[in-house]
Amino acid sequence: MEILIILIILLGLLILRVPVAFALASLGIGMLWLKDLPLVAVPIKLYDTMDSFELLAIPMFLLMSNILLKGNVGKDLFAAVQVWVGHWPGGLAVATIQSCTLFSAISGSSVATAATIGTIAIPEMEKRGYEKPFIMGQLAAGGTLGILIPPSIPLILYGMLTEVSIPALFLAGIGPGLFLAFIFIIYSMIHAKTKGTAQTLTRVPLVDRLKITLVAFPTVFLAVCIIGSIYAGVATPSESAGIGFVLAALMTVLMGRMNWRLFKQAVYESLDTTLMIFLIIAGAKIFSYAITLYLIPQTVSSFLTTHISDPALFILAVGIVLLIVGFFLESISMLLIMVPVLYPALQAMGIDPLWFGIFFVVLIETALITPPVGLNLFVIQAVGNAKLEDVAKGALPFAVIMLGMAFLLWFWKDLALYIPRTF
Amino acid sequence: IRVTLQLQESHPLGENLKSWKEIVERDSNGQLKVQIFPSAQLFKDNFVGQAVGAGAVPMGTASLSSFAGDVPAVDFVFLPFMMDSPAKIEAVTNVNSPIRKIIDTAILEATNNKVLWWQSYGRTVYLSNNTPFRTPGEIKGKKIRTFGRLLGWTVEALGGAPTLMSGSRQFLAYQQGAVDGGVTGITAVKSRKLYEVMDYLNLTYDSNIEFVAIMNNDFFENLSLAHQDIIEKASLIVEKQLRQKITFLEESALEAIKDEIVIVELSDEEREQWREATKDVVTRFINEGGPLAQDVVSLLNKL
Amino acid sequence: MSIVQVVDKISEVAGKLAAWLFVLIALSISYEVVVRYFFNRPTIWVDEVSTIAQVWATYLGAAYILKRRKLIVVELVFHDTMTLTRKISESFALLVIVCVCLIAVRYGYSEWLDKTLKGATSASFLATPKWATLSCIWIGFGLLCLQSIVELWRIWTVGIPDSEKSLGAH
Ligand code: NA
Ligand code: NA
Repeated sequence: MEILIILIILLGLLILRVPVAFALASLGIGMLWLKDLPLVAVPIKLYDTMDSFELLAIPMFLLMSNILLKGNVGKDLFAAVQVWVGHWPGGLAVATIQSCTLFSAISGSSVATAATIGTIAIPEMEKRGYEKPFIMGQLAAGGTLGILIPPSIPLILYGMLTEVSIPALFLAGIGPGLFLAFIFIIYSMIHAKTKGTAQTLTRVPLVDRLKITLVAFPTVFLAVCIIGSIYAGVATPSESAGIGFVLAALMTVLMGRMNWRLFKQAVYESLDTTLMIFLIIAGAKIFSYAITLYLIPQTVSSFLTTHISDPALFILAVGIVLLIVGFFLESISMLLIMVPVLYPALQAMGIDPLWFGIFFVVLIETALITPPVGLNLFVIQAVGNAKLEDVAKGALPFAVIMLGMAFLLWFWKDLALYIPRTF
Repeated sequence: IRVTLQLQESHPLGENLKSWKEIVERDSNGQLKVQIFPSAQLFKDNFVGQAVGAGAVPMGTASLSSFAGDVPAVDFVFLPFMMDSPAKIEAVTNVNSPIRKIIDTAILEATNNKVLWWQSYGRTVYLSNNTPFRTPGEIKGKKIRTFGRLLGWTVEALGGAPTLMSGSRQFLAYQQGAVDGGVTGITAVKSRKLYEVMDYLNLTYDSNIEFVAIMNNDFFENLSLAHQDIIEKASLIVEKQLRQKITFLEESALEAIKDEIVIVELSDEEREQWREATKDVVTRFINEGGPLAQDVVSLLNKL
Repeated sequence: MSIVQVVDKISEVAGKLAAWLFVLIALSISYEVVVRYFFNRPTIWVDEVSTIAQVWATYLGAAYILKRRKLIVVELVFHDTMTLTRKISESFALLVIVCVCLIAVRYGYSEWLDKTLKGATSASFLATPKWATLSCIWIGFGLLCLQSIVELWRIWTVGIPDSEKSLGAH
């Protein structure tokens, strides 16, 4: 009952156009105040939340992608992917998903992936007559691959909370990540075929393909620097993003595509996107602090374990709960709150925690694109200057695909477990 | 009583808190209720002292070194090779030890937190890749992860380059080779699966990691005398439990990982070289920690 | 200059400062990687300074983001900026922001004062004084509070401004 009232108030605040960040924060503060819980927690929580080196990956990747955007360089990379697949039905959409997949191997965060590829791909796809909601939804969803394909910030956190091996989790994410990208591509091609509004590009001869790929060489070099610096142990993801920004700036200057005015624009626009995301994360942290003290996640979890004894039913119930929780919670909060409460129940049911980690991340991905609180929706809304409902509408089919993926994982556990078991 | 716990409930320190909860609830006939929020759901380690001191939550556990900003002298537990035998550790950390009284009082004055008990996390060891660290010479020029100011000074004294990193970040840093080695607690090598990414576990046992369970002092003062008494007695019991168990925990952690990582025992001469190389750290500790640090060191020297 | 213009100006300067702080962070991170990898001399300050700068930039820039109408809103109803209902809902939203700010300032200030008087520092190598770090909460939210009041005034005098489109985007 308490839960229902809280959700209704949150919805009410959001409908009345209270900014998401402050709807979450004010509701959290109200809940604390109502039960006489000390409000001094608020400033401490506000500081605690932003005091994180991992979060720095977001502004750093945004700075890099804005520089690439202003310097018209991101287009080269996108063009290089596009010449290989552009003549397929829905070719640009396919190129977008592939670019998301490639970028996911650099970035541990969905938001950074969506923002980077989004800034490049959205204008291109709009030009070619793709439907706006489809474009937005596809990018919001494609961005979520960032946390399933390693490296992945949520998988690291999950490993920390459950003591499951992080490299194993990373390996387990590869199969489902690539499979999901594959399904997205199939869906995009079918969508393009049936809608028919999108232009298909003409097939490019092999020589030209190689040429265009060569033009993208500086960008490819940048990508190699970023991926390489992470896997060669030179830098952590946040650090490689910072280097990426500096290199991108140097590169565009050398190519004669950057001037002081464009640079300033890139810097200020990164601030807009960074802060709209950061303030929501801060609000979400205060809200989840309050519901944790209200014991809401704990109640839900103990309800589940006492009423359900069959593992399959249990996973189904957990899936439904996570889906509902995912409407309202920011992904990292969802993980930090729900994993500790669900984990003991898993062990009692004999469910493989490695498998569950991947299952959980797929549901986090879904949460990232379900309204009213879905960070990737917000990012794409900001990057694409779109309406939230358009983005959400476009993301719906992808959310359904992800749920199907979560379902499939139960019956085809090897999709996740084969790679970590073999290597 | 709401308690914020930085580790999982299943971790020995979490178990320790749970037995405290059981004793307190039993002895107060359920009048005192304890609610544990594990895995740093509420606050990160660095913010627990501030949150409990300000009364955001009444109670929590945090690493002793997270108080180094308020009371620099707490870092004495990391002074290299000062508490190098179980007897000395016991002498320093037992509830009546003068050092502990000084430290607990200083924490109370600086942060409004009453220290209920100390939780032993075990001794520190060095992890390394490619080559073992038998002597300080092998650390020279290497990048070493540490988790406290004083441990960084130790690494500097050994000729290495220290970087400060939280417990959760070290795994990736080791895996990706961002650092060449690291200082960590012996039990963390098992619980954080660090043996998967490092080659050598060097049993330096140079210092000792302590956590503290703290309670907001105003909250404590407002409890009835009977309840205060129950809490203090329970704290004493569980502190002893963990202190007695920690050697066993360290041994079983070593036993469990001995096939996964090369365990390097140092000879007496080798450890003597480490001791020699790091002896200036004490001077630095006194210089930066002021009179309180001076007092702690002179008490340590009397052991 | 009127009070409104002064507040607008302060928010703008704070916002631009925040934007450049992130650039500064990127530079120091890159510096750290270079000296660590090529010269094997990791710094002791980059991690700490860049996270402190991140917290400062976030809360310092909040008022600027509000002024530019960049906060994310769920756009379901009241699209028309000229209607009375929209003005009322907008004012309600701003009042909610003011309330959150007042709580953050009230408790953030007392926490800051307490730590400042005790001379507390961070537990790291740098021992950064807490007065320099914790002050971002009450300063940032104080500024956001002022800006919200200014926006409230603007709604009922000038009207609701459009969200500024990102400069030069698409
Ligand atoms: Na990734
Ligand atoms: Na959602």
